[in-house]
Amino acid sequence: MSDKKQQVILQTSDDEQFTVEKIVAERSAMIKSMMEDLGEQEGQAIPLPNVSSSVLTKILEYCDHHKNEPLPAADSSDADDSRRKTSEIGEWDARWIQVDQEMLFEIILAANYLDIKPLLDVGCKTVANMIKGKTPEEIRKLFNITNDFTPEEEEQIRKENEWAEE
Amino acid sequence: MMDQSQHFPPEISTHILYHLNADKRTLLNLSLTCKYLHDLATPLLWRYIRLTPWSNRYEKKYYSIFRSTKKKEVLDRQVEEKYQLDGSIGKDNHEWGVYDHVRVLDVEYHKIHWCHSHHPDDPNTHIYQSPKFKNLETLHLRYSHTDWPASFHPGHFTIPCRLLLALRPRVLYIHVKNSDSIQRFHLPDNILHNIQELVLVVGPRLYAMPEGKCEFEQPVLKAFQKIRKMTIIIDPSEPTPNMVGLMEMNDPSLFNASFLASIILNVNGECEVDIVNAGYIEKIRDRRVGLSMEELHRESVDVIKKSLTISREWSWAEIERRKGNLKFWRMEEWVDRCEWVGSANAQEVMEWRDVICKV
Repeated sequence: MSDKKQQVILQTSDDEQFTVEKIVAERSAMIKSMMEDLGEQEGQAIPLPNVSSSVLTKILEYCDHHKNEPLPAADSSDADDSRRKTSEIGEWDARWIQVDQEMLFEIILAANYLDIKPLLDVGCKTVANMIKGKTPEEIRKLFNITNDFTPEEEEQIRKENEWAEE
Repeated sequence: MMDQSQHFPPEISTHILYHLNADKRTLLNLSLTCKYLHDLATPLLWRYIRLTPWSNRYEKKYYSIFRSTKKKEVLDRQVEEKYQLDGSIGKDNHEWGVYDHVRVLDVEYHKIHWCHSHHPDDPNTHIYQSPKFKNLETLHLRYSHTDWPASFHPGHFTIPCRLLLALRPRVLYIHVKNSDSIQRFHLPDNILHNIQELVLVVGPRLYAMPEGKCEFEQPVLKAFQKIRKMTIIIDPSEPTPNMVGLMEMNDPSLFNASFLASIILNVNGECEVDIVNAGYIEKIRDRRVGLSMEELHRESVDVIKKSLTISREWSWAEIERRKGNLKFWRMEEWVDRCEWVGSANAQEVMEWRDVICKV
């Protein structure tokens, strides 16, 4: 009986159900607060309309690996943020996040929606590393961005920010 | 399908860009990709500006700052019109608003014509307004060049420096190679009275402070009575010339301590004081002895605390209170604590850490 209490059911956008250990699901601050709201209602699935089953499978892997680490404070301040930002991506995380770009973006969006701060951080750092050292044209290609500047505007920005090119 | 980055909510895009904070080249490239990313990257590009004399590029930077302010009034009008037309801020955004993004201004040097500081009798003076940097939080002043920077232009002592006079920072960094150049430091009271936090970065001290003296001038010390927090960092990247000769005559371990104590004695009783890297000079002296940085650090802490006890006629309770306000950090500890993030130059701080780790 007590075993059952430690489980929670998550339902993805494509109507798949996942039975997950509570301690794993609690990595998501959003699911954690939903579980608190639902209270003792057992067997009730928590709907995650913004997350597909393939993305959730991947994210649960992450949550499972980190389940025994302390949760970040709910109101983690800017100072905490900057502290995390200076650290590198852990070895396991770096291997885990080696996925195709589409999956990477979906993981980031889901981490934001589910409110898993350390995961969002790993995702954003990975994207930042992809951007680093690339030319504007290469960045556009990478993210399929359309250039909406006129040549004059582009020239203007270059001129204004000349000093950044150290 | 893959144009998702454009649809990342701004808070995620900003989060990604924050990881590129120190990489201006990449931020600039990002700002050139499209308007959406331009608007997100620009505040980060302008967040920290350093003005130094050593490169032509910086001269261009000054010109790009001050040239466009000349047109500011005209631009303001244009922007107003644009607002009325389509309710959004137009492409001129970066031309007039960039100074508002500046949070940290790091001034080592600037030429008189860069700040358009003309003689008060010059009828054209009012045309050339210096940028206000109205969201400025931190001002770094570096005293590595003769007499720079100051509130008056050297050689033109009647001409106030408009750049500095217009600023109202909350945090002040004073960076000096030798602690005796602090004597040259002065700013007008209305700037000083606004300062809540002072960070003092000094090279190692080469001789002892005379008893009861402080390198800061009296008016400066008085203004500092308002500050709530002070951090004093012994800058490890400054070389310590002639130390070998000095060692035989004096005890340099006391020099830093006497200097630090002279400042601590003059701040107000509520002010927290963090002291970083106090053991550094002793390490240089004692390189042969083989004491660890850790032990030398502890030694200096003892000397500084002791000097509090003997220097003033404070009650025991007051001395204890003052000691309670003091915190001592080793360089690595302080760097890793990351409280400097956002106001100090990350590259510089990392260099300090490197130097210390090699000693």
